[in-house]
Amino acid sequence: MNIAVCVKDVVDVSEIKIDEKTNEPILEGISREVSDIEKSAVEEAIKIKEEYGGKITVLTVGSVENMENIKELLAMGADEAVIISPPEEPDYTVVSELLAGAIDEIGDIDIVLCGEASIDLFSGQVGPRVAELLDIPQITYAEGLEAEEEKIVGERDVGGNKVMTVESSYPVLVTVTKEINDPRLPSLQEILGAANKPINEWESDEFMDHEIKPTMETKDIRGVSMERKNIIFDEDELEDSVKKLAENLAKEGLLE
Amino acid sequence: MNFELTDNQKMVRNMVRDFAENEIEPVADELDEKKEYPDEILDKMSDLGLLGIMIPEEYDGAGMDTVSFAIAIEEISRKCAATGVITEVHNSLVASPIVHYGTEEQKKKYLPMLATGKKIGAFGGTEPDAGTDLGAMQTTAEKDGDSYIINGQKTFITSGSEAGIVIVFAVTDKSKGRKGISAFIVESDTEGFQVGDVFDKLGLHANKVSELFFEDMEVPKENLLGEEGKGYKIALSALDHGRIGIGAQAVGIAQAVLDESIEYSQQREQFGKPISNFQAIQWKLAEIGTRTEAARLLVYNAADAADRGERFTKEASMAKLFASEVAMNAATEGIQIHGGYGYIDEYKVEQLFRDAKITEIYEGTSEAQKMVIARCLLK
Amino acid sequence: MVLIYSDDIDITKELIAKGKELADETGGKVISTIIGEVDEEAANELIYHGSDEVIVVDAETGEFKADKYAQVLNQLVEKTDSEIILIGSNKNGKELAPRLAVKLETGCVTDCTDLYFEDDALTAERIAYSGKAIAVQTFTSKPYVATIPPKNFDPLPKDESRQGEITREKVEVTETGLRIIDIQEKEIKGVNVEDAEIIVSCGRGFDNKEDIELAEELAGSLRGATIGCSRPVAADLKWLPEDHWIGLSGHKVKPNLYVAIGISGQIQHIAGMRDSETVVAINENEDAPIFESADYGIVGDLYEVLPKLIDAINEEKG
Repeated sequence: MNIAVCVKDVVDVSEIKIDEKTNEPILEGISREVSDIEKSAVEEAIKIKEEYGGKITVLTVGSVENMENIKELLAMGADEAVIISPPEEPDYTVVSELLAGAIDEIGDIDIVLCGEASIDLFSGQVGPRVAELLDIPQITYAEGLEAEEEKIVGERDVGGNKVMTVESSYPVLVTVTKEINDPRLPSLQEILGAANKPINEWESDEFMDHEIKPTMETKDIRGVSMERKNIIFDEDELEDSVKKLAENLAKEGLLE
Repeated sequence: MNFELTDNQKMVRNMVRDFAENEIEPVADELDEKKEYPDEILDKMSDLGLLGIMIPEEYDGAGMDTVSFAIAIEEISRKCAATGVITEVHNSLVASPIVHYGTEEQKKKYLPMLATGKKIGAFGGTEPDAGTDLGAMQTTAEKDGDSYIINGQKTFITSGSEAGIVIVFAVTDKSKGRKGISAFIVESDTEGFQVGDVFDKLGLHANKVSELFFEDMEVPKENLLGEEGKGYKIALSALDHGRIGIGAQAVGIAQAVLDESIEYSQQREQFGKPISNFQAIQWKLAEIGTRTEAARLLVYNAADAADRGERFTKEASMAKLFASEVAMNAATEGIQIHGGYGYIDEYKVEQLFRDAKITEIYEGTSEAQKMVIARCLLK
Repeated sequence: MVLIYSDDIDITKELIAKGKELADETGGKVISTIIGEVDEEAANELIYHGSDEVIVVDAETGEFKADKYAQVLNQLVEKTDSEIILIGSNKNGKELAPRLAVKLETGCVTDCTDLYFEDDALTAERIAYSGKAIAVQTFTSKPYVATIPPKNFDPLPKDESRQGEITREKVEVTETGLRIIDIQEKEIKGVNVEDAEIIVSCGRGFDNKEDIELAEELAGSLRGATIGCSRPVAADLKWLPEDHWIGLSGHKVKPNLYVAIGISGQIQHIAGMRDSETVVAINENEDAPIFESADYGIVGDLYEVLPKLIDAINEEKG
């Protein structure tokens, strides 16, 4: 099985703090990582490779500030990495087009694995977009995956505490949730071994046959106050207080 | 001059940090409380190559550099200083001397056992009357045909009751003083090898520190490490490496104090605001942070010197001396930041305070480090 | 035109409300889509809740598959000349919308918390960085595809006098390599408070072990929330095993919703739950420090509050 895994080197969101004066998230000095969700995608690829052989290529779009984060995936067991430099300010469209283009360029890919979403913006668009661009089926939100010779069976978390079992022919795109596995840590020996694995840097015009333009523009990212609301419901009747509480929880989408 | 870690070293840091957070941190308090040896952790560490960090790959080790070793010990110690010292002794005081002084047969036989964690290593140097003054050693090894018969006792031995392989130092020729000391690789199932008391200690509860007794213990001559009379030199060389490790352990403890103190000071409120808003606390944090960074750089400096193949005795002693004092000072100040909460066992700084003290003592007290440093300076 | 689709009729109603608002600005109608077998009444429901038209797509299209439904919606967008496509942000909607956007060669924003026109371009707000920030994104392409989470907008009141056209469409789609085998309720595995999305946590306010059932009942109403507890309940009273214990020495958690019941809020407990997104506190002592760390609070006896709260939540969920 030849597998492509799409990953992103992102800021560690747990470290982000909001600048009280400008109300902007402080992104400088925050460590970067490939999120656990995407490491789970790599782990799943390694498991499939262990069973069926093949080659795992890790793909990422954008400048990689911390090359060790990509090398770590090679140390885990991926065979090769491709870093694609985008035109300025890539949006979902551009990233997906570049990934799909690169997957085409590599050729002969049976499975494309992605995280359900990247941990920073958590849009979850890239997986389905790449699947559509490649015109292949997708299994999203997989929390279980079993590759067989001719087909792949996935268990999808479809929300509402339900799991859907689906099967697909190859090639297929799968997005995984972090429940699917615990990504392995590379051993020291594997870390040393990763130094010999290729990391290729591709320019988009080297493999794209058409121009791609962004379709969205991020105008602003502003901080959300982490202060607690401290609202005490103190109506005359307890019934009214609990009702207000329930209404507020519903409004925040917590009662779905 | 380049202060940046290599990608490999960063990957080691990330990997060990992840491991320590996910596998060590959740059990560290319990191990400390119950005084349990971290068998399971060591087992998992062996899978990751952490029990053979500097052992060459041909002997199943990871073949990494000394800087990576220091990074690994720091990150492990940041979550459990006891596991840190067990790993440090195993790698630097036991595996390294065999790498550097062992015969090909000894390397083939013992290094894979150590690297894969089948046997944990201990360093049998200290005796009741021979601590800093190793030359006053009383344990003897008498040649008897193809064997040596070892008699004597050791004390304060890290992993003493748990180790499968102990490097035992013994006097083979009393008339030659220090030059009459030899080193032996001893398997703990050798007849005549006995574990004495396992000590109750102030800190590092998860580390089993014990006495060892040797009674007519017959060790084949193939287990002599290096030549007869080379023991003292081997010990000093091992301790040079070890001091980098203890320095790294101390940096890990200091960093843990800083982590805990930052978190606590941002959530603890007094007079209506987090105590991190008060200058008195800010200054303490700034000082702990600065000293910890300085200690880390001294440790890296010594490790890097070792990797470049330079003499690093002075650098290792400076790193150990400074880092251990930084750790102790950080722990004291960390408790002060925590106030009364720092004195109770629910907060980590209480344990860090207990763990920090020994770094100023073992593998050469601060006073002994100063002797070494001064000797190097006055040369 | 504003085209609406969700496989969840409740979300569809909410989308209609927002769609109406946007349609008022752009001019045009709100057209809702139902794919699959439905009775007349379901289509009428959408009209009553504000939809101008409803398109019911032939049942032969079959069960939901993102690649197939994207083909359906793509054709409907073309047919209706829709400029805005709103899709419900459940798992199905989120795997559908980006595929549709690719077909339409346009941008898409998922999980919009707000959507409005600014300088003639549709602008969307969505949560970023695990809730620490809001990203404001503007479309530079048309049509606009957006997914909207449930409960984000209130549906319009039902008005049975409203009239609207209901049309049935047959849409040609190509089958795909995907097959649905089975759908099952998830097994509830052992307690893992650290990964829980909703936690109902019990403290010393409970009089005895059996009463924790009350908390479990509330948890049942909250999507099968996980039960947590403070130190005394696990460590001293041992009413719950230690894997439920939240606090400095227990587990550190960051659920979307943390409900602290009868927990005073010692600093060690707060340390374990301070990263929770939304915190609700129920305590009879109005000076309990937990209220300072809570978004919503009710001061009262938990034995009175809980049954009423459970009723209110069940009612709110409908």
